Amino acid sequence: MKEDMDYDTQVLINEAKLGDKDALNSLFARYQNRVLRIVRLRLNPELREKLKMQSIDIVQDVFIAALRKLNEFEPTSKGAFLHWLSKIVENYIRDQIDYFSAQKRHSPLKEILLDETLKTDSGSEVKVHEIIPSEDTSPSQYASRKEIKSALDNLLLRVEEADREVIILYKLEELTFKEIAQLHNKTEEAVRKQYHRAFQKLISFAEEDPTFKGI
Amino acid sequence: MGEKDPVLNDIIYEFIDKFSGSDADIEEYCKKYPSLEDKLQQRFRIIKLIEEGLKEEVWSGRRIGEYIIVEEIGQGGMGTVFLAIQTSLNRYVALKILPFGLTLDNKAVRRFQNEAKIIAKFNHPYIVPVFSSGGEEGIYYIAMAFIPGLSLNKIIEILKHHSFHEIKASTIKNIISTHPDFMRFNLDLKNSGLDEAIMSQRDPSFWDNSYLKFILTIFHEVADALNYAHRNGIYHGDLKPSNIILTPEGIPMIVDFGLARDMKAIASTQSKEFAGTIGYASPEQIRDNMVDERSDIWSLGVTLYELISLNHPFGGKTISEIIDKILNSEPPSLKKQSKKIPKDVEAIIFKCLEKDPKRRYSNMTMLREDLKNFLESKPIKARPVGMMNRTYKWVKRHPLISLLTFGLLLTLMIASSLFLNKKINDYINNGNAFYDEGDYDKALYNYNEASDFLKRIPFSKQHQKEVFYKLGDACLGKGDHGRAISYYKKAIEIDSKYPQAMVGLGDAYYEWKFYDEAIKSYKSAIELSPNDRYNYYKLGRALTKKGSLDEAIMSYLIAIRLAPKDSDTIGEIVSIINKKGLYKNDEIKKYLKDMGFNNEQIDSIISSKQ
Repeated sequence: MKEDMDYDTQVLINEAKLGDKDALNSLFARYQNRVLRIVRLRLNPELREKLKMQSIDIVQDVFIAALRKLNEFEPTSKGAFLHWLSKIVENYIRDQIDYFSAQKRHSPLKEILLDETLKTDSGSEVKVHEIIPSEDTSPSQYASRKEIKSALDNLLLRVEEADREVIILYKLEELTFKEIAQLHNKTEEAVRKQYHRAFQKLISFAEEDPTFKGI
Repeated sequence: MGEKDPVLNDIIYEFIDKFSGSDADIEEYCKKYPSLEDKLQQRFRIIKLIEEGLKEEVWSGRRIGEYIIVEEIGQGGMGTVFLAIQTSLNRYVALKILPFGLTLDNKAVRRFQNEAKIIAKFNHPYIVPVFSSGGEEGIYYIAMAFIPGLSLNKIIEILKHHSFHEIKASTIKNIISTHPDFMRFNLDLKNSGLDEAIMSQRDPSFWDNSYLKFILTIFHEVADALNYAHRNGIYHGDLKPSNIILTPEGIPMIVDFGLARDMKAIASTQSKEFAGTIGYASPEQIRDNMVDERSDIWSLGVTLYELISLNHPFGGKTISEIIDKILNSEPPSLKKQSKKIPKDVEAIIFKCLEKDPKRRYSNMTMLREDLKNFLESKPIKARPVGMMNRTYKWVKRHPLISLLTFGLLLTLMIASSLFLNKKINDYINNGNAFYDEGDYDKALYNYNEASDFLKRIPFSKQHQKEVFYKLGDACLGKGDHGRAISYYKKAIEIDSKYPQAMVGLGDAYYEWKFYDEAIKSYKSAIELSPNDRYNYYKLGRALTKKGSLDEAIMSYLIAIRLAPKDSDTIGEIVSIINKKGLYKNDEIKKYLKDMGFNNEQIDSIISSKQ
């Protein structure tokens, strides 16, 4: 079940490859949150802070530029697609975040999308940070879901890098153990064991954490 | 972490492996390993939370109309707000999706759509432009300009951590432009769907102003926007700090016009959501959901009071405490909180906060002009309220006798309930009259209105269940079995020992030909009121339909014991006898005797058959 690409994503990717702007936007809308979360977890603290300062339309530029590289890639599964996209976005940010930040933002969405001849590498900045609910959020599950997410990310950052990576690959990028094994040149069983160890560690951190303990 | 316990570890291992969503059965594990139950429960709970935290938003990427949802940016009583991309224009918009509860009410949806159309025609620099609204597949939305900025409630929260006397206009600019919410959504204006002309710039010297002058300038602009809306026949109805967004240029933008009216009724049933809103509601809104120009003036007064003092004029720990204060207490003097606050400002605010709407500014134009007068150092129209005067007003509103007899809170609850009670009774009586005439549509309308009003009275469950029951009856009369069933169920939800609703539920199922369900309901009704022969009669009919003839006969037997001469019951028994193919009197007598009938009963059945 996990290996299959969901039908919607498959269709969107195909349309995006043909240059359909709606499909590009839909892929951006669908995956930007998750991809940025993945990227954030992989960056060092300094870059993570810089990423926080970026506005979402700049992030969009980076995404659209990345997605335009889809032609160079044939995703075999949803996991493979997410993994590819996260890596590209991460590289953009590593390479260009300072450049982005220094630049005055100049290319609004409208122009990018109407400009068919846009060069893929010429994005502008990048972005983000957790969204905090605006308006009078009631003390509903919503607030606690957000809290859990951000608390969980903090715990993940405390897990050793290699272990964290396995959790990211398996849970956030939705790769299978088999795919991770291929990626890391390990046996499937070894990856599975590592994932379990990593998850156990996460549980033990969570048991000490007020957000998880208290609810 | 329990590494010491290998069994526990194995289970956790298995659980991590198997877990996908909610299909892991915790109970099963606990049954299997009862000695580990506590530890397992605790561990599972944490794993579930972690899994929850690793899941992604379901709305992202979803297409609604011509909009693609990017991510959730806020949630409140009025619905969820998403950042979305409008594909046809390639721009970002704020997409507000109405709460599901509201969309169930056709009338509310229609009103919402009508108002959205009017607001879409608004053109005012301080009102958030509405682009479109619509609905598909039961999801109703309103698309408006995305405003990069921060709502006043968030600004208030942050200001509370500042020393009051050090706050200046420039403090606000700093707060907004460094807030993560703002940075995250600091869209290029061309992307935000806003006309750049709307996002006017302040003169740089504006930021040298005192905090007081800054706030009053903004509220003068807000009053101007509200005045514009009022002249166009739209009241806001839910004015509060979270509905006013301030851009980093210090431009106020008002959102959520007119959405409030229908929301209150829904929100009031969900007390948590209501709590965020109630503090800004006017006394007349609380009493009878009246929204007009003067209730907007009240709400603006509360908001202004809060911004200026950073204290809520009617703060309280519980909803009833807040309501009590709104209806009965004068707000604490502003001058006492800070000598810097001029008495004229206090006079303006207190004129907005008159309990009697007639004593407030009679329209938004007058409030706007008074704010302007103050900013231009001209005399204001509002008269400062002296301490004596305030005490007098307070006494006048509270005749001593009611204070002595009931205590404050009870007085107000009774007062407001009495008012509503009359309305509710009128609606119920009208509904009954229409029901008796067989005009079920009109009956339904009246019962529905009664039900809406009832939601606003505390401790009205008893009446609510009766109205639900009547709504069920009216739907059944119309032949709308599905809705009838859900109304009866609502009544039963309030009171699980409500035999009439149980019978109604049975009738609805019976007419819908769900005989098993009907039988179950009738049996529950019988348990609750075992002496009502009619329940046995109905149970018998349902059992007959299902083909359980003997059981039906036994039910009729009890009906006949309770009412020996009931010809309906006897008729049904006769028809069962015919169905069973019993024609000779001897056979019939034997059968009925076996079933427990006595001679007298058997004779009357046989004579009736002939």
